[in-house]
Amino acid sequence: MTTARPVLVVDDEPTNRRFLEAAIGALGYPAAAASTADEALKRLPALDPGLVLLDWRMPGLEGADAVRAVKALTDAPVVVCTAFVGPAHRERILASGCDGFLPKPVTLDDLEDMLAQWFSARP
Amino acid sequence: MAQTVLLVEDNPADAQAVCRELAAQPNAPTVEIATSAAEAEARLALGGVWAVVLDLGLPDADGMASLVRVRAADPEIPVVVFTGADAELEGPEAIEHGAEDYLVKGIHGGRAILRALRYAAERSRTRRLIAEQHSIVRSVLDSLADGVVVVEPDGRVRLSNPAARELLGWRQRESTQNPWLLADQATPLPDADRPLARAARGDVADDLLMFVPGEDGGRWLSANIRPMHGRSGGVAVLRDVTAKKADEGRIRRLNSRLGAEVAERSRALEKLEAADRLKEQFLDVVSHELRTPLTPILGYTRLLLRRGGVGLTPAQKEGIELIQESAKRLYGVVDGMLDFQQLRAHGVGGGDEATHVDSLFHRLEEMARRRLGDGDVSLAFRLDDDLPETLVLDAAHTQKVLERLVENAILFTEEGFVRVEARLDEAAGRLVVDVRDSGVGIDAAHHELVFGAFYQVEAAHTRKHGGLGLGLAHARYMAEALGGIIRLESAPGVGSTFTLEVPARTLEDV
Repeated sequence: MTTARPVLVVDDEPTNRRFLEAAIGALGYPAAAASTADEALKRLPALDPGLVLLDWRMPGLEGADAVRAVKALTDAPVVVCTAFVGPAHRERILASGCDGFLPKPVTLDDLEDMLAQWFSARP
Repeated sequence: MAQTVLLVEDNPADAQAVCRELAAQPNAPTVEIATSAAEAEARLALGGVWAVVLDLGLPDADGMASLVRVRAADPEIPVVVFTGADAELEGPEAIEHGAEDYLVKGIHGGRAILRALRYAAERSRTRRLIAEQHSIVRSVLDSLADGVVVVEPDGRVRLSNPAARELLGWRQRESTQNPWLLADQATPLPDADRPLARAARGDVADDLLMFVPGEDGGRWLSANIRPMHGRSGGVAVLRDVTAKKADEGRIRRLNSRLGAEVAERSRALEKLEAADRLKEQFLDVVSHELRTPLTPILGYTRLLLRRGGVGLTPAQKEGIELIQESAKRLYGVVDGMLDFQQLRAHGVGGGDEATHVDSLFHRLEEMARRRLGDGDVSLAFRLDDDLPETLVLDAAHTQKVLERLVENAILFTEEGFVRVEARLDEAAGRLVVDVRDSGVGIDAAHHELVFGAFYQVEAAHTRKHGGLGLGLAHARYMAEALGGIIRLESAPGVGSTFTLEVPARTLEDV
């Protein structure tokens, strides 16, 4: 388990960030967290995550720009996790080049399904 | 037939001489003789005389008086006078008094007399024609409703018709002064540009406006001006446009008021649209802000309750379950808000599918039982026996509408019942669902209001019953977007029945 690549949670909202990190851990996956996209970009090379869970609206780098910046530095799938869930938002987000969309509020079941999908090789 | 000449001559010898002279001419006229003015008058009254040869010295009328009497007897007849020795004085005077020509007794013979008579007849005929033309022109001018004015280059009025004099306030038909300057002085133009001044110069123009002051407040005239043919000066044709100008003024005022109203309405509309956009943005932001904190609430409660809540005391477990239930309700409200907003913006997408009717109502019942808890309200579902097992309809949206109607019924019913009854109106192709409750009920005056957004029966209910007041508005939007309707029968204290009708077909109909 220690050799597995972690899930990097990028969210400026502390309670969300802490919960997602804790929930991912509780579901049996290693997790790390960053509070801005800029911070995440700095830590990406060292962390080498297996999946990036990226908030959409954040201070500093955000949205489609953040998605592209992250994808430029890692081959890990990027899943946008946001409370902007209307069809118009969803369309814009999916057009950003991200690999998935996880609407907030994130339920434990949704999170588990999503992790299972991207780490399908896991037991 | 020979023409008849009346010779008025009191001297028989002179008369004989003239008769002889004329008789010697080819195509000689017949000569009749009158020896006094009275005799001449009597003969002329009988008619048939071609011309008169008149001696200026008669026993009953001397000199010009005889000419005047003959002219009076027949204004048209050609007259040639015989003068005596002072012909150079008498002749021109006679012509002034209406004679066509004059001859000197004893000098002019038959040939000259006849020639003078023929010229006289021709001049007389020409004069008649001119008078006739003049009379026609005068009749035409007098009958015109438009005013006609002929002005000379120096501004004198050569001619005007009654309509012009009426329009311009003139008394005289002609004038040696510049009365048009008086008439035209109020026109707001420089002197040289005023219509009648331009007419005098021989300009050509249409619809020149001029103002004539008057006791009735004055009037506006429209003038068309043209030059005279073959001479200087011009003609102005005038028409009273005071009423038309007043109408134009009214129309202009009406138009400008209309324009102002349109502008005001479009400003109001813009404000409304801006308010609507603001509302949408507000809902968007609120939805986002409510969703965000729900993640940890729902997530942690779920984490804590995993595997049956191992490690929790029964009281802790119950508390956490209550948190979870509340968070889910909140989630439902937020979702409803988003749906409502989406619906307003985009309507529902086509989603007809073959649906197992029992399952649909079963899901609805489960939801209702969870919401109802262990209260004093009984819940009953009654599906009509003729309701087919499977119907083709938009199940997802129909269920959402029904959920809102049932939630609403539960929210406002403290004791008694909530009853859901479903049947198929096969002829109309509609699923009909009554959601009855024995709750607070709604006054008829409020029946339409309850479908407005953010409305609750009484403000006090908001605290007591909770909810955003979006449910019914949402339900009605959705029902109408599906091509259905929601009806309400209710009275305070009696409870309410909301009836949903949505399009539904049996499999046989598809």
